[in-house]
Amino acid sequence: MERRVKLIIYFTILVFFLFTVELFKIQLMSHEKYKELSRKNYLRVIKIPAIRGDILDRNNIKIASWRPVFRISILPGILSPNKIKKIFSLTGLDSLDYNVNTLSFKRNYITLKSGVDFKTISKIEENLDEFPGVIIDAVPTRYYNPQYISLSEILGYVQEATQEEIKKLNLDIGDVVGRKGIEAIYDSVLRGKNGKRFFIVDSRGNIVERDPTPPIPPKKGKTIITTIDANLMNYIDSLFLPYDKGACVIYKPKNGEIIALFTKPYFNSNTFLKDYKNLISNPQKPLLNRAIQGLYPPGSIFKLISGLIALKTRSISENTLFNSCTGSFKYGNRTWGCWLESGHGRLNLEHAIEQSCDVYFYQLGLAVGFKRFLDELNSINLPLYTGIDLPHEKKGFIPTYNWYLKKLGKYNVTEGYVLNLSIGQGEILFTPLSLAVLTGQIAQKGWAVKPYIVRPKKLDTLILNVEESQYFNAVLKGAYLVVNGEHGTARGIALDSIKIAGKTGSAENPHGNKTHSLFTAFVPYENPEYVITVIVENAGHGGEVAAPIAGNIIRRLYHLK
Amino acid sequence: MRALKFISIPLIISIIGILELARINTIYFKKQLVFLILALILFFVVSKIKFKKIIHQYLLFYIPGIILLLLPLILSKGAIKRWINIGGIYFQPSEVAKIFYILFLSSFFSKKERKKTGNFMKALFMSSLYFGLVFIEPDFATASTFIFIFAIVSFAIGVDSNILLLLGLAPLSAIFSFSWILYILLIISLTIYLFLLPKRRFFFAISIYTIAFSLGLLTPYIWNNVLKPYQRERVISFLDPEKHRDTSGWQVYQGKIALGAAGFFGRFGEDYNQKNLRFLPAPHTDFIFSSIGEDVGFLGLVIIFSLYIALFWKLYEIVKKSRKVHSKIFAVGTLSFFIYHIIFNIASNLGLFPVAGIPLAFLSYGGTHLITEYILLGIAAGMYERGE
Repeated sequence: MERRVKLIIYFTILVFFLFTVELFKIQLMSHEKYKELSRKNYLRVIKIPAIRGDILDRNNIKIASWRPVFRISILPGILSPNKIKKIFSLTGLDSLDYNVNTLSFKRNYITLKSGVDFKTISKIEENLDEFPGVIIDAVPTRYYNPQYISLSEILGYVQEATQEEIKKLNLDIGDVVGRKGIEAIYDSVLRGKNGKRFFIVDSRGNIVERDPTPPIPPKKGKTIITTIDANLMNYIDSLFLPYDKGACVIYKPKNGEIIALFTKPYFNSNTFLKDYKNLISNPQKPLLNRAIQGLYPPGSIFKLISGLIALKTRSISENTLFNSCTGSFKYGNRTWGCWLESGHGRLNLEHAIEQSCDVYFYQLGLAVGFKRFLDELNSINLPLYTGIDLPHEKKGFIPTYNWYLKKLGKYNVTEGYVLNLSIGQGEILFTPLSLAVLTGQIAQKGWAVKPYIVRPKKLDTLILNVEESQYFNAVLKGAYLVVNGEHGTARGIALDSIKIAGKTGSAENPHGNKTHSLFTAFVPYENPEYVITVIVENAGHGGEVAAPIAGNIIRRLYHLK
Repeated sequence: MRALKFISIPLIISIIGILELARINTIYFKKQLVFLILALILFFVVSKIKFKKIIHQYLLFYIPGIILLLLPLILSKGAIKRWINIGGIYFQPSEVAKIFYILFLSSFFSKKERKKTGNFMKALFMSSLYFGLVFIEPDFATASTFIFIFAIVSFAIGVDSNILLLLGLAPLSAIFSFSWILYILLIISLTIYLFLLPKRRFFFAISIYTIAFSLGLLTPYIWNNVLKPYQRERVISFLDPEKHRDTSGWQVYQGKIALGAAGFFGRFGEDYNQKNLRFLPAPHTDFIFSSIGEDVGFLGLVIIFSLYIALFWKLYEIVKKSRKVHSKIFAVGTLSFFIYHIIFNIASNLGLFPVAGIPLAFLSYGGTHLITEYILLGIAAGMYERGE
């Protein structure tokens, strides 16, 4: 019997040896792993959200900053479903949005509601003993200066990051990301670095100790200084008061600064998410930033380009006089009207620009020829897409000869199409911003700095390829006469102290009775400092509506009455 | 007082146990201290009982044990009939029945010609009433204790190894039936074993195959239709605790964290350990091993292992030096009792065996098992001291 019992003892010792090996594995070899798991058990990390960087205008006015918003978070693990329901009713939350029963099993803090008003906060704070595991804190939240909501489309807005963004950008749950505007483009600059706060909790989630190690403070995002003049934006807004829709760009072609980039109607960045349903269904399309996304036919403003093309191709000289304008022009078996039914008489290029004579430009177009006109148009490098530092800029459109062949068929393309083209009607589309850059290029005889809202390290120059700068002379003279000439279409805005040049335009549009009113200007004439481009939808002729708005803006820019 | 040298080791382990309970909750400490004192008194009382004269009346031990096992079945009203309530104190009769069972085995095999297969079968038949009564409580852990004690005692007294194989085959075919590869391997090795036997034994072969095939088919059926979901869950979670860490494997998972984070010297001085923050489940009962391990680390646990092995060795010496067969057998029964409880409790803490509610000898909180343990030691020590 002893022998067998001894065998049992040895076998037992063997088992204990195996236990020791197992203990060795758990306690010594995997020690660090289990220590970390134990730490994970009791250490709850709560993020301290970083403050998003401020956005300033060119005069250091804070147009986007932050303010604290109260937030209620719960640790559902220790609250009974009934308690959670009670919090829901206190905060006015709909318990249908959450499944109370699954909530009470989760192990981490969950933000129930942010933006809780102070009254609700105090109600819960009074009864905090009743709600263990409820945390009330103030979260720094993006706040846009309500005095300057006319800048909303430039600024954009922020929204809580989606699951994919959290993964892609390595964010924490509840972090916001910028959408639209500067918020989107400079998101990574504006975003700071979240801090951390530590809590030690027991298995039921009761907080045993706060801050066992010092909190890691958050880092605020960088401040962004823009080139926008916020007060000027508000002034433009006041000038647009009588009109529903339109856009205005103020641009410095010498250094690329955008002083104003106005669009109407605009949304309110502070309430964007709340307003979203209305914004998306609004027929006025407030989500469209017309300054960079609105595509308009340039109308008579395009005559500046037509003039340049004619000079470049040597189809005309500065002094070429075509047949006299009698208010209409016969080509083929059709009659083409001039906007002035009484006619302009015989004009050279600069006076044709001054008075925007359609008949002169019909003949100019025919002199160049349809195909040549289109080829030149596509080769002079028009700034249809400027590459401004804002998201979703739309590209303008100019047709090619092949485009016409494809659209109309080989035998239907006739020289007559050049008539419409040369006066800027038809398929050509520009955004207000690209019209402004184009104006700057013409004003400076062929170049302008690429526009921006936040000054980049390196400036790019956009070149209009007209080969010889002398071609600009007659066109510029015409632009000068538009404001200062005896018959200029915008002569009402001329100033004594400073010379304005520009070009009016009236773009026909299929949707409204009235034409879009366009005006693009630059001042001073000899040494262009500012470009001002104004578009008012369905408002009438360029000289009647858009030009006076530009005139007012120029007076303000130079502090004139 | 000479009996004291038999319980020096158990006493050290018991003191470690109540010190640990004091760290968990002073209520457990106070109660367990009372139980320990009571157990020591009973140790001395039972060590004075002279078994020599009555030891051949095996029914004298068999019947009280059966009565004890019947009590909860008759008196308890719940679905699980393991405890009876005596004046507000819950008491588990099956624990005390283990004492009577070991006494019965030593009595039975000391009287009969113990190697004779017929006697062995008779003991098996009588024992199966014990197994069965606990089984229907239901309490698988305790039922398997009885089986384990029976198997070890039978092996020790020298029962034919073929017959033990016949018995051992039952649990093996049950477990292996969950994996068809293991099951086929089992059948093949049985066949080879039968061919290697010096004599062809037809009935033996028939019974071997009957057990292997019937249990192989029956076990999956019992698993799916008889076992309660919580029982199934315990087995499954044992197999993969990391995967089930949020549900049933939670306990084992947290127990392993407690052990692993303790390292070599333990984390006695740390405030934020698994026990203090209540991540360790049932630290005073099922998981007292992990709880102690968290405090004393690898070094301390190896010392506790040594103490247990020293206890086993002490019992082995009693087996060796006892003059009478019944005291030898009783010491073997007591040894198997301790081996079973200690090994399976530690194995479950290490995640090597399902958590079955088996108390850890001398350490787990609970009066009944502590008293049972000291009574067993008391009887064994008394028999040895008197030269029985």
